[in-house]
Amino acid sequence: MRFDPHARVQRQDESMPRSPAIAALEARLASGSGGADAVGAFLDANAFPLAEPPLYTFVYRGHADAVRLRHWVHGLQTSSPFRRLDGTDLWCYTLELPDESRVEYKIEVVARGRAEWIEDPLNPQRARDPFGANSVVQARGYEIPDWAREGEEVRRGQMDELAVESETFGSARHVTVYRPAEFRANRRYPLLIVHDGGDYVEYAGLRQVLDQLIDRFEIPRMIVALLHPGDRMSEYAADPAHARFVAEELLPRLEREYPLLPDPGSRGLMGASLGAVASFHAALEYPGRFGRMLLQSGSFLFTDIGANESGPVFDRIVDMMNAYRAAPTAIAEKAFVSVGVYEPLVSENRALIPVLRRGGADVRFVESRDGHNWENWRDRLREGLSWLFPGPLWMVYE
Amino acid sequence: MRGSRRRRATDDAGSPSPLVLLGPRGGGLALRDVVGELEAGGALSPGARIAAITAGWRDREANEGLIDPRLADRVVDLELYRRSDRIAEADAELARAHRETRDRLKALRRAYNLRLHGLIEAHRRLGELRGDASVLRAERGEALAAIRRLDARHLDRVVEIRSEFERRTTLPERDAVRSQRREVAARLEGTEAIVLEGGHVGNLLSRLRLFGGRKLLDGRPVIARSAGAMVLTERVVLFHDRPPWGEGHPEVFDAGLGIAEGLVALPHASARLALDDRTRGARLTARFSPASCVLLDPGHRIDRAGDGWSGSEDLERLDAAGRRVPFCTAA
Repeated sequence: MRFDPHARVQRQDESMPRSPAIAALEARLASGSGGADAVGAFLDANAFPLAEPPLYTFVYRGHADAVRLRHWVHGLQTSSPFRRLDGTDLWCYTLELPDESRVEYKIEVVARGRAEWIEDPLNPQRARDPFGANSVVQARGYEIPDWAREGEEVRRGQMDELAVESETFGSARHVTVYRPAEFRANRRYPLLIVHDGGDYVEYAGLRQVLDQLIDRFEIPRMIVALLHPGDRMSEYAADPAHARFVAEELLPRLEREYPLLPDPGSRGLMGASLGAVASFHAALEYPGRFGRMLLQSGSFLFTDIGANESGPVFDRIVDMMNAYRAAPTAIAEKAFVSVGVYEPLVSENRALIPVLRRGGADVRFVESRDGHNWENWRDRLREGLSWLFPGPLWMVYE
Repeated sequence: MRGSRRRRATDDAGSPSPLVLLGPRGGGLALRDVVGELEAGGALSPGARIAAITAGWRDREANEGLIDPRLADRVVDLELYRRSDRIAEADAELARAHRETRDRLKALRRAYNLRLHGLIEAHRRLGELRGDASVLRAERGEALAAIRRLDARHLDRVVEIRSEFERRTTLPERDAVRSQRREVAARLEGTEAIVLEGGHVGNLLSRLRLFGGRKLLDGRPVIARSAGAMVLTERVVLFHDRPPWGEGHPEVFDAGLGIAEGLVALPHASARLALDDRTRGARLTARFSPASCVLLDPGHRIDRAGDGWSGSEDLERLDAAGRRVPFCTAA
């Protein structure tokens, strides 16, 4: 299967690109020159997925009726059948990936009438998310950013736990607040409010990223409020109650508790997927309150004609986006938007950019060869945060 | 062995005190080694006490672990950053005037950068135009002259706004300032040299000014590292061609203390400048000519030597064509 960003139909098995290493193995197997366990020797000698850029071959060994690659790359079929090498229990599937791609996947093994999705036993690379973990293939040129790792000598921020009383929700909401290293009560700091903050910390390494970027002077020391949603699918889907909580209850509480800079340019909202929608909606409902927005892979669904067919959960979002597209306003001075080209929301995010600009925002838009996942969102944080909140790097020469 | 490059370098007081500018930490050149050389040359007494200015480290000021540990028992930190906080706490009127001035300078800087980026883009695109060579040469020259005029005007305006602040607040006469300056003078007594560490160049420069500027440094050998070196030049130039948020263009920040004349100090040059881009390099050189754009990487050193400068053997500068050449090579 050759990569084609415009393809919507997977080509059939016969068009699968041939891995030279697999072809050589098949030749050895056919000639009997590979020894008693040619397959075992092959597995021992290579790392998997087998990288022969731009080809990447996924391999599974075991008795099965069928094996499939399961991934979430928009434009490709999400289920791609492996081919079993004649006379062996070795299954393989070769995919062409552009450089710098990063793809999360599982292997589906069908045996005795039962299908099971498993992490790739031959690949140690994993990405975790709220649903568990996926295996990861990293194409040539992709590297986990060094600023996303724990740095031994990097000064670490602290986490405070806050119970924010909410009349809107009728109960206290739990918010975690990141305070930067060397926090001083007599200084004033920018504020970033992060939707799904717990997941950003757990799956996108947000604490390490903040520590690193602050330590490198790429962003200023800042206060970061990490939200933990209640009923996420409702609250984050353009719910006026959530926007009210953020702007009228959480923000004043944070202003009382922490020394914050007062100008909108020092206040930001951030989120991914529905969290991006919640950020956008809060800024839209409270213009002039938040001057910075970091929106990742937002579910910015809209209809140019006809009704929303994505399900009732998205009705409010579609209504909001249709109204905004008809009459865009300046909801923030600066907005950073990112999306993976392998995710289904790429078109909606691309469509948002000219509308935001028409509304008067200074917009930076970044696409990556990745999907709708936390590590994609992590990898864009440096560029997004440092653009929205430039640190003193420009001024620091140690 | 060092190369030499002729430059007028004595300060107004005609001080013969040694002046050593260093690149960032590392590169096998420790502060202790420089102090040892000054001792061996007779500029310092053996074991002499040394005053340190670490205001560029801001909240990490006076963190002895960051100064060469072999000098720790000889160093007296003047704590200018902490003292400036105390002044602000004690003199609300001054603090307010300072905030207003800072906001004015911020607005000015935004406007300058807006214009600067437009002019640089025009100069860059003129460089790509093809056509009558003599016509285009003249237009490129004029585009560059426009950038130089803007740089000069910006510098004038910064100095004007800052001078107005100093005049309006009668800075040296204010109780809080006088009190802290007295304490600094007391700490300076018995020290024979001043080490000016790097860090946040804006914070460092403003604290130096608050405590007397070049007068604070007069009469003693000075060893200045990175941002410390920048603030001693006539013109502080901020730069980072590849910041994480995109592309950057060097900008004039403020006048320096003017002790190190004829130089534009560029610490971390290899990390922060696109040195393989000659067009950018040539533009940088032309903007600040006749000053010499010195690439101060870790381990690099430049000493005042009579009316010129003497650079370490591996020290480089940018020439008119934007190439990196040995510092001692004539332009």
